[in-house]
Amino acid sequence: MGEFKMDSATAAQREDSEWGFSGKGDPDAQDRKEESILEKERDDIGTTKEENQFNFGAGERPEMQDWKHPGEWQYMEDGMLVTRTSVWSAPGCHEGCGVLVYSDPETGRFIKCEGDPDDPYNRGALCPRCLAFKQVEFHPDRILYPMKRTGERGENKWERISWDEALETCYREFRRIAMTYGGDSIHCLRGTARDNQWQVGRIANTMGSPNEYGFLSGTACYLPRLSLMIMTYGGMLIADFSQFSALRYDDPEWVCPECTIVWGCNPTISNPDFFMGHWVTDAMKLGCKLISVEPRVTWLAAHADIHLMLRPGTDTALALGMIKVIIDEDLYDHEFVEKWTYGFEELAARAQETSLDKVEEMTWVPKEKIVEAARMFAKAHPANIVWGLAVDMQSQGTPCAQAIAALWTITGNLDIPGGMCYTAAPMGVDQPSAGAWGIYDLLDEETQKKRVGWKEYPMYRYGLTQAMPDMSLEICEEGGVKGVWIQTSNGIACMSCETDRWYKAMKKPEFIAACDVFMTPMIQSNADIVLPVQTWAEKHSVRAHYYFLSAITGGCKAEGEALSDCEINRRLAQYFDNDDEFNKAINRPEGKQHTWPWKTEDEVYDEIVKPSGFTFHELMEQGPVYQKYIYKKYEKGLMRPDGQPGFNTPTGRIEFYSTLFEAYGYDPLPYIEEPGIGPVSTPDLYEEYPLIMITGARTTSFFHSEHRQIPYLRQLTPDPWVQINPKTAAEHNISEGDWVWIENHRGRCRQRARVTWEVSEKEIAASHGWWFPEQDGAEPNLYGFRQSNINQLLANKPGRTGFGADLKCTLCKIYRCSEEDL
Amino acid sequence: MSLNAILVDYQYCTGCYSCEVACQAEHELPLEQWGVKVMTNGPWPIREEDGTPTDQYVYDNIPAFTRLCDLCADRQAHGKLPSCVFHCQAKCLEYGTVEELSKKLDSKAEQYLWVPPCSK
Repeated sequence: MGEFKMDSATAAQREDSEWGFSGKGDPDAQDRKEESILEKERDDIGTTKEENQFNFGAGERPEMQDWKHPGEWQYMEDGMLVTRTSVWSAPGCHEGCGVLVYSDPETGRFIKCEGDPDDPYNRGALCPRCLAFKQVEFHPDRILYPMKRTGERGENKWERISWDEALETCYREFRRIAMTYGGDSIHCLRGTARDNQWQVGRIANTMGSPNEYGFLSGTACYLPRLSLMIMTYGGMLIADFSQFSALRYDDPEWVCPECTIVWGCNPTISNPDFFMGHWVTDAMKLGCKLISVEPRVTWLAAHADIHLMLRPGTDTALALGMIKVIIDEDLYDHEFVEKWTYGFEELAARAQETSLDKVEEMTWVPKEKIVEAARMFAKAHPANIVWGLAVDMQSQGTPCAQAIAALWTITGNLDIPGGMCYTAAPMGVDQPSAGAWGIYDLLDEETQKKRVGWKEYPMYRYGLTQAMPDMSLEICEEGGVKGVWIQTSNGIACMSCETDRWYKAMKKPEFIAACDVFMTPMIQSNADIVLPVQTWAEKHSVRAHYYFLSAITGGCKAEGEALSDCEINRRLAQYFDNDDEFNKAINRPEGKQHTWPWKTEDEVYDEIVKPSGFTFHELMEQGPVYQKYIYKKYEKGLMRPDGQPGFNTPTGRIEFYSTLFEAYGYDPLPYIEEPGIGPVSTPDLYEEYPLIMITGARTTSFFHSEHRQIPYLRQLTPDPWVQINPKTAAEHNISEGDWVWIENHRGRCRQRARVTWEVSEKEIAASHGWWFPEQDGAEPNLYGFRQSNINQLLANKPGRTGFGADLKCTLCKIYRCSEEDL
Repeated sequence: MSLNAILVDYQYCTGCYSCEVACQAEHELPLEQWGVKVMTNGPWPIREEDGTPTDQYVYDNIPAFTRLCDLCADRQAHGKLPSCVFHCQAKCLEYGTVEELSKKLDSKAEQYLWVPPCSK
């Protein structure tokens, strides 16, 4: 490959930002805001790709880091063919670890896999899910052929069909639905973000629909944080543990953080958000201090320098309390705040409205500890924050994210080595991470705005540009959803609150097709057609998220007739792309009829990786590619489409006081509010249900609802456990291993007691995503998906911005199951 | 000649179970058969003399090797590390000779040295 250089001509040619003004980091920025945002109509703000910037540097070929993977992409070892790849799904997780797949050169079949010691991301390490992968690959329950339903929905009667019949049926049905009811009556559903995320959105657009989303109330998984960062920081930020550099801890430019706050997150177990949790323990070994903000006594919390054991759902108050201490004690970074931020005075005034006594009363954290933590964090330099789902899984998700982000900003930790750094579009490849590859150009403007929630919840224009799940549920219940495409989501067993509502609603659509590796309660109860998906070891794909660009290279033969997610979508799209009548009917924009104009799946990947200068096959041979990461991009004009210094926000500054929030009619500053349900907001309920319930924590054995049928993994966690404090357990006459009912006004489920000090006596922590593949899959049992399903106790009730929901902070009571219950 | 061993820096063992499954997969062990098993001690609060719990907790994970551990003899024949050491996420396991590892044992607290029966 030739050398890559930043193309300066491209920067010069870039047009002025869509906003028609340049904010930049200068003192006049405030005035410019007045003549821009507030003059615009609410519906005219946030409608373009430029306003929705995820990763910096998308579409531009940056300088490559001077590093190359030392190994070959494929070689023979001990009679086995070894192929280097990167893991994402299916089944999968949020990572992208480097893995070596060993296969039989004769049959092509999988033999084993190992961590790739030369991959900078995981440096050889693997978690149990990859180590047990052979049991996935050859599992007798894998779906290996396309099938159609022969009995009623839920009867578990299926018949093998050809790919042609399966795809033609999908095309015929979705076409009929789009032509009869409109494209937006087709909803495309997915699980969490993996390499196939963009495909679900794009196939929706192909079928004339703007509606793609997951089942989760308030999209309470990263989206509250993500939309906040895009709107007020002009991009996504993540704690820098050297992962932007292939040299990792040896990179001379990187600095180990002196302090990290792990906030509402258990990263060593969950490996969240493209962040390998053990980077935190690596940093601890290098001397990084640890502050844990966590209601439970996790391993990390027990090993932290300071553990702030807060009441679930009160994080915003805690963050504002810490901000108050840092401002009161003059520990903030004056220079950064003055030069690069907007609305600091207002933020300070908001923080002053509360007192540490009030914060202590609300959060249950002693104020002395809050002061101690605030000082430790502010005095450390650099310092960063590893934040997790607990931020999102409260109705306060948006203001909570806003307050926590302000903490790292006022302390001057923005975009510096070891601080909080902007995620890259690696090598210019913005892997349709947005899931929005097509939404801005494959649909006409009118159809784009038919996206559920587009008007009502304008913050959904930022981030994944997905439909609003809570509103979609209501539409589905009313019969407005006619066709459904489900790609790797086991919605009714994992993501959907008030499970029965979603379960019943999903019986209504006229046609449902699903792609997966295994049968699930979701597929059994609702699907008419099921399509077999290749595993990560079998398929080609691309891994381009945040740090590096890498090929996902199929290292073994696919079992049965499974195809990759991408190839399934590509083949289905051909029917629509060649149907002039259909495209005319859905008013496809001029010249956009061929939504998947690629002849093979590898051509799709060629298109995706194009900005890097590599073809897909060149990338396979190259291995993971890192770009030369640039810190303090805002000083260098690398954050804004107009190439000016500053940030891609309306004022050009980081906005503590959000001008976009103001324009949309939301409180522009972080504010404190009680969780929707709890000891303070619903005292009557608290009397009947006196325990605060946390849920959703991952285990290393499973990724959400996946892996329950894998023997090596199931043996690690054979049953759904609920953590109960020894004192609480004694009061309820519950012993270790007892099956207990967890119940509130919405419903109940049963899980097994794990009596442990890991939770306080005021709380319990229940498991999520449980179903039992070993049980009867037909109705009404559906693999027992109701038995231990904690979501039956949770509500579909989003926060004010449409983001966030009280999922980790609700109420319940517990009691032992009687003999006849079991 | 010095025996071979594994040095465990249990200060950083987070209890992820990678070693357990790495071992099972490598040796194709049946379920509930382990060459190494992570034993967890805690969390429990350290108490004052009068019994009042403090906010300090003991929470240790100790990878406990068993007699099924052969230090991955097959892998070593191919110049590879034992699978548990190789795949450990916390990088808290180290393979070597007792002679060299015992020097490292002297460098920090919260470690122990495992010398398996197969080593003799």
